[in-house]
Amino acid sequence: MVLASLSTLQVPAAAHSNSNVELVVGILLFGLAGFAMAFVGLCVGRFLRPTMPHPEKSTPYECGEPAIGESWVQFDLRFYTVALVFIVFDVEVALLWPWAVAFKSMPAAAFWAFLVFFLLIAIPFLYEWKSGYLDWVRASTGQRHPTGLTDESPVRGGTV
Amino acid sequence: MSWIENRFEEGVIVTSLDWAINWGRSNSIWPMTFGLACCAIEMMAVGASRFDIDRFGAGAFRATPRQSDLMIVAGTVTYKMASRLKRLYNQMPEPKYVMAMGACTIGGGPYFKHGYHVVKGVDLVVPVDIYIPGCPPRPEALLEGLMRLQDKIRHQTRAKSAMTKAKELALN
Repeated sequence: MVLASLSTLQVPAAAHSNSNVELVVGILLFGLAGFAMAFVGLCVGRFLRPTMPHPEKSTPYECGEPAIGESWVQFDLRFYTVALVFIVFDVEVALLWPWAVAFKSMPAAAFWAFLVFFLLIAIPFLYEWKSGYLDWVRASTGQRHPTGLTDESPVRGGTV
Repeated sequence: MSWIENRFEEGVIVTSLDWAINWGRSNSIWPMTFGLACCAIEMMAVGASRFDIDRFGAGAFRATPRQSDLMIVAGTVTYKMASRLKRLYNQMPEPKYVMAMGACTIGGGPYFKHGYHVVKGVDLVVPVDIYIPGCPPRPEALLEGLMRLQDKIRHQTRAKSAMTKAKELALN
């Protein structure tokens, strides 16, 4: 703020550009003060705190047990479909609830508008159901390949 | 050790800084939530309103060693637990303090003779600052131990230790 007031003293004529300079300098000082406070704090801490690294201090667990295995594990891709279906129904229920609460005092247009929205969700759901994505154990046989050919497995044949 | 330790001779700057740092540390000892056996019941009583360890600034029981200053070993330390205890102690940041609470942690207690599974004193595993005898100790005894630990912290100094001075003399 000292710098800002100095600039006003030196250039009293150009009032418009002067206020802009004052604003910029003020913001700069504000940012500098913020940086300085964080920097000084970190520096003081660096000189005062004990630094005694230990391999146990960087281990993931905090319960006294050593970690077993690693966190990079293979995850079943079928959970992805379940999660997607869950999100769809989650949103649908969240939108259906106020609609159901205000059902009695609702104009007819709102009813039909929501029915359209409901259909927009119901049709993909039916498609998904038909395609067998809701089955946990999914038979790869019988489903149509992208090429249009069917898998001719002797064990689990048949078509959907 | 920190940059400031063992750097200055004893003087005004170090004493004032010592006072400030020790004041802060001794009045904000955060214990770890670490109850092993029946002594932990007394430790919980100390944490509750009747005895209220918060009067001494030590009421913030942390559920992780990474935020704790004090490990109150409250209860029987078995050999199976000893390795975990050691690991938890290693995970605590400096400065860290250990209280051995009760007869079992001090020297095996009633399990000293026939307890094939009990460590005969937690000071065989981690360095202990304060010993609180009793089976189990009264909550007042634990508070007394905490006050003695505060006394210990208040007497810490960042000035050159006698050992550092002796080493410097030997080098010169």
